Amino acid sequence: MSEFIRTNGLKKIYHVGDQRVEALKGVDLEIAQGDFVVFMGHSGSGKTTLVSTIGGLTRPTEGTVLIEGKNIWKLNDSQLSNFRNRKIGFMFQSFSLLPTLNVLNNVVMPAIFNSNSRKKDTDALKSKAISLLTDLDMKSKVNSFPSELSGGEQRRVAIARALINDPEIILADEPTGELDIRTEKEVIEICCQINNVYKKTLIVVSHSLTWLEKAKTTIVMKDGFIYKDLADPVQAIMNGVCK
Amino acid sequence: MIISLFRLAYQNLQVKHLRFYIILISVSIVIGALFASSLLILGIQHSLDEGLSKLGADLLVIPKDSLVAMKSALLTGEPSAFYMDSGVLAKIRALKGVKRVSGQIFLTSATGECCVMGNSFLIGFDPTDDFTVMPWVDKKADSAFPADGAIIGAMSPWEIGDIVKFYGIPLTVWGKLERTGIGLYDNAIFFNIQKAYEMSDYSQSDKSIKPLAPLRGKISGGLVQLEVGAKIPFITFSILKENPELKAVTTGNIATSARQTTVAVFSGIIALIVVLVLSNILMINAIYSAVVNERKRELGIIRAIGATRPDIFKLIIYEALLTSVMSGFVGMLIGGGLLKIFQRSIVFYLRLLNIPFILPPVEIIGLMAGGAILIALLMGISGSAYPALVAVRIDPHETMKQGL
Ligand SMILES: Nc1ncnc2c1ncn2[C@@H]1O[C@H](COP(=O)(O)OP(=O)(O)OP(=O)(O)O)[C@@H](O)[C@H]1O
Ligand SMILES: [Mg+2]
Repeated sequence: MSEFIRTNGLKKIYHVGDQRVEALKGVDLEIAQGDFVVFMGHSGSGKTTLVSTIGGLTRPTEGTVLIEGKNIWKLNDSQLSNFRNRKIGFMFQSFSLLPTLNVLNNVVMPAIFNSNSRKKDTDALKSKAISLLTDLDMKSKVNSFPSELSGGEQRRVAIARALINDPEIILADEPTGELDIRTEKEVIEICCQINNVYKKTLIVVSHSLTWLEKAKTTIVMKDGFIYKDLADPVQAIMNGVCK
Repeated sequence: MIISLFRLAYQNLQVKHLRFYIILISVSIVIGALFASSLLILGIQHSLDEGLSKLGADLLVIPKDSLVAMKSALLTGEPSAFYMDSGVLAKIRALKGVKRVSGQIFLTSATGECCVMGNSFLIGFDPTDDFTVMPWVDKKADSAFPADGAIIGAMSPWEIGDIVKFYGIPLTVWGKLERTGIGLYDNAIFFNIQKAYEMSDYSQSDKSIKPLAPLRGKISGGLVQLEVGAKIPFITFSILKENPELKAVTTGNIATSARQTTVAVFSGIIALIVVLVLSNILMINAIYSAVVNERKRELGIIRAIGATRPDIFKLIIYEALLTSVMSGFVGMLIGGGLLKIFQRSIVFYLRLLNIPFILPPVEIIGLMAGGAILIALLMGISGSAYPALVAVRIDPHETMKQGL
């Protein structure tokens, strides 16, 4: 596995009023292509901040994010938007589908912003979306609206949307929050498939230990720093590195 | 159908939120009012233009200080009388580039006489050099135009064969003119200029009526037609050089000032519409500011998924634009429909005011419809531009506050 994602001395300072919150205090991290990484750590430890700087959503105060050797925070807005659009599939926590669009249109939405598929024929796009939804067992809901779906079903639609532009990286921040155990297991199983079958690099933030069974790498965060390669992350968590 | 940015905006409207209806109603009222009142204004101007072009004259020569009276006579048909020496006709006729000159004399009718209704505008013309009255005769008696014949305007109450009497001189109605749309001509009675002189003589002798000025040897104005290729400013200049007591106006010039007069008449309505347009822009601005604020997270998600700043700007603008253009169409239907329904009473009312009205030709109406839609469109854009700029500044990071 080659070096794929790399952060160097990544720092993020939020200013709230005259208060200074140091969310990331210098993170050096490497993620290999095809890895399945789960970030754990107590609330406020900086997981979301770290993942969103990697995803091109939150600009770091200091340090670099290199993806395939390219510093993404050197890109201008339209290049960065393009990068997010093609390289990264986001899986949002909840309510991330557009309520006015049906399932099919929600899934193809990222293609609107993809200058390649703008020219591509829409039939191909449509059949790709339907095939993804079929893989996710959502074929019968193609014309439903998000409000007509259960939480687990909404999650699957979000997964299909994350995959439509064939990104190499899938970023998910607490993708199974608010789900019951059974549905959570289903979503985790799908993520395994995405990693194994579609060969996507998977980066997940979660508080749920269920992910640890499937993850290839576990990274624990505390107070803006990371703990890599803990011999036994579960034990570390039990011992209070994270909540 | 596969989604596009435009369709995304359209889908947002499908939710048909209350605010959609608020914009729809408000903008369609403005566009309806705008469309209907500009149809009215253009209709009035159109009928003036039509009438003036039928006049067939390039220049109108009148006494210097009577221009205002002439314009108001043309616009509203309000009778007025002013005179100059008839000798100028021969002088103008002799100028190079002048093809024809026809003199006319204006009299106001005496009220109280038998068979005279209202304020008819009496116009004496010379059948031997006329080129502006005879060509418009619509219906006429079989005989040739007799010495005591009268030609009446389209709005006159008489019929062919009726005998009318002014200042003691009886006239037989011989013909009726086409509608010109110009009040002056539609309400006038034309007859041989000799009869006008007889009327003036009679009015001096009959002590029971208010006498006319002594008119023999006078005219009110001359209608001038130029040779093909003659330059209007050049001829105007030579007329004025020789006759400094005169004023020469082009008929186009009269049309322009008539236009200004109509606009002045409708200026209250126009001002009201301008205020309405501005307040609607403010309203759209307020509504879309709320929309953007409400959809912060959604817009953040769209940004995360790959929308650029211009994409977000377009998304908001498209939505406002679709709403306002829809409102524009609804407004035009309402405005045009109301005008159609009340056309009879509107035309009747305008005629009471002596204001001519003929609906402009279809091409012009189409152009105005396009203009109305364009204004609706501009209202949508200018109302939503600022909220759209605010939306553009929403950081994709926004979505991270509640987790991705
Ligand atoms: N937009 C923001 N403005 C100000 N402070 C922020 C912002 N986002 C995060 N923070 C702060 O930065 C720190 C790290 O937050 P972050 O969301 O990365 O933690 P987290 O590990 O994802 O927590 P959780 O498990 O609760 O999601 C926290 O102290 C938080 O209050
Ligand atoms: Mg978080």
